[in-house]
Amino acid sequence: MDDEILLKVEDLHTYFYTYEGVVKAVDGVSFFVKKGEIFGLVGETGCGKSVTALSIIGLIDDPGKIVSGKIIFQGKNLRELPEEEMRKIRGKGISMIFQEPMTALNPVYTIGDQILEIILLHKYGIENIKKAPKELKNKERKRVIEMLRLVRMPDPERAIDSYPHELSGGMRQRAMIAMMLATEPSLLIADEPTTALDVTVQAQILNILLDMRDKLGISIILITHDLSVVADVCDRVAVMYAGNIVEMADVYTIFKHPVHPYTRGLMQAIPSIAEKKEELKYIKGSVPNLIYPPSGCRFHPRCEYAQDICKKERPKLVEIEPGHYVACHFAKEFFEKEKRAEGESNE
Amino acid sequence: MKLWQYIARRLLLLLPVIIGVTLITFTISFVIPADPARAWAGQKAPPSTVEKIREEYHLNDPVYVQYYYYITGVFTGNWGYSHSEKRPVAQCLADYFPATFELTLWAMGIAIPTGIYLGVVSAVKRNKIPDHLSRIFALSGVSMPIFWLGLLLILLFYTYLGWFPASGRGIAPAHTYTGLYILDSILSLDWHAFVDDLWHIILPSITLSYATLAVITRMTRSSMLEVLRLDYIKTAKAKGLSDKVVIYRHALRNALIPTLTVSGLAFAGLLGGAVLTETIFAWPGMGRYAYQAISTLDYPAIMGVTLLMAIIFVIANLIVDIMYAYLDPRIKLGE
Repeated sequence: MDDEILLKVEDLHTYFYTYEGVVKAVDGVSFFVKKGEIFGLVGETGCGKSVTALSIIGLIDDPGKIVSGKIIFQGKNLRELPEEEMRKIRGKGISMIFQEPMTALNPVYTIGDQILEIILLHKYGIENIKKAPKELKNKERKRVIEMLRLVRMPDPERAIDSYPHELSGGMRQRAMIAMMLATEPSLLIADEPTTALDVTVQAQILNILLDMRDKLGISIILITHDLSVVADVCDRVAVMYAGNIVEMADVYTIFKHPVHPYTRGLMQAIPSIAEKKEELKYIKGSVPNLIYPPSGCRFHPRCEYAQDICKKERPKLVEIEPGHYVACHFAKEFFEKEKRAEGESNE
Repeated sequence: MKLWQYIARRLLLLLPVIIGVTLITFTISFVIPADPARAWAGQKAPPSTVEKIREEYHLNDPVYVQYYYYITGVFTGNWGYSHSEKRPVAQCLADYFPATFELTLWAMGIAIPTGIYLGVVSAVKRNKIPDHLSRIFALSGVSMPIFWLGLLLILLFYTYLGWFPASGRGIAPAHTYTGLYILDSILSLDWHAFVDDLWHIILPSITLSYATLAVITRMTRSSMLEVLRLDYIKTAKAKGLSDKVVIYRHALRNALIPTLTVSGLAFAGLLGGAVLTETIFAWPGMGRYAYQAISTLDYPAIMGVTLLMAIIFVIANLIVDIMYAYLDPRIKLGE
């Protein structure tokens, strides 16, 4: 079982030391990603998804800091690696793509040069592509075109010499994916890769990601706030709330048998055509301030089932059935109630 | 549009600029309540001499006739007669302009690389000691009067230490090719003049560069800070590139555009306005010539200097625009 695991995050704490106080953006997050799977990280804006991702790849900027926890990738704790070693993992072991394809590519270099740069860096150790020998560049140019074709970039021979501003949002995101996969990393972190795109383009990009997983055998952490995206492509999902993971399971379980009150609230907030309601359901209250987070369970002020213990003790993430983890004091009760309800409806 | 077409079109725009600038300077010199003929003839000259000067320089004609004489002269190379120097304006400018040009080149040669470097360091080490030091340095540059800095440098390096000379351009090189002493001394293999000229230009060029250096530092710092928090910098880091490559290859090129604008304008400004530095260091350049022309009501000289400056500004802007297009592929010339 353990050799299937590519990345394991254990009790990660990432804080931001601001003038207003310490923002506990990620506060005790644990999860694991298996080889070849697409792992969804879901939650509202500001719940710590992106900070978790940036912590993994080691790009937390000042005033942020990883306070404690382990990030074990291919058996190595990334937090113990010197920056030099970490740079070799970035872009080669773990790659990352970002939300805004409009701004994530450097406007002053061609798509081809930007892709070539990462190939030359990790394959030959050449940092400055201007200093690379011509033959090498010509040889690797073929590889760049091949990558662009792989992400179904229209007219790759032309796109390779285009500047980002000459391409559409969807094409830029394809270029981005081609760039970050050109070195065949084991793990790709995609931070809201489709949020800024039109729905039709969104589907294309997601299909490309699925395709890449199948062809290259990579694992993907897909960060999103869009549950329909999760349902479409993910194998397993972790739901985050206010810097914690509240529930983690395979995608079927999360959608069919959510246990945590927050996850259930999320599922009910999905509009459905089948049953038209007068008013859309939503979770009352708003995301807490992470400088002064609520005591105990961070969801308790918004939770309709909250008891005294929820205010005092932080619930741990426990496995309530194989592969299904929930952080709630009443997880067992909710789980059994759910099971009973299902049993009744089946009869 | 091809580059040469663009340049030709922009240079064509010089015509209206020249006409506009001469019209303004001409009008101003005309309405100023002073009698140039009297000034040129001297206080004790008999009225007949003054009248003769008036006749000779068409000063009795209506203003538009005078302007006609002047503007036709400008386009045929006759920029008037400089009374303070007792020779044609064009000749004076040909003498003084290279001196100023040389000084400005050196000043910009100090200001641009140093300013960009300090700005980058400042931005990268934001709110740390190097940033504070460079900001103090830049702030003093912006606020310190240039003549005061010049005097301090002279006091320290000339009077006390005796390391550098404090006036003039040094020995004229054996042959004159460009009018730039240091370049000429290299071209004519005159090492004696080379060392002397180099020694002479150090203090004035440092003095002249400081204010510009400060502006470039501040500009680079702020635009670097802006660029460093953009997504593509994160992308560059996520690729595994070292900080050096991220900063100098990915961030700086994008941050250079505002710096370039400032540098272009400063360069043009220094060419025409090094009055204080040139006066303090007795540097025989355009600034000093302009100062002398103004104090002696030498109108043709004033207009000549103004016109030359206008042309320099136009050309400097043209060069800056061409460099924009080189730095940023989103900028297309002529659109």
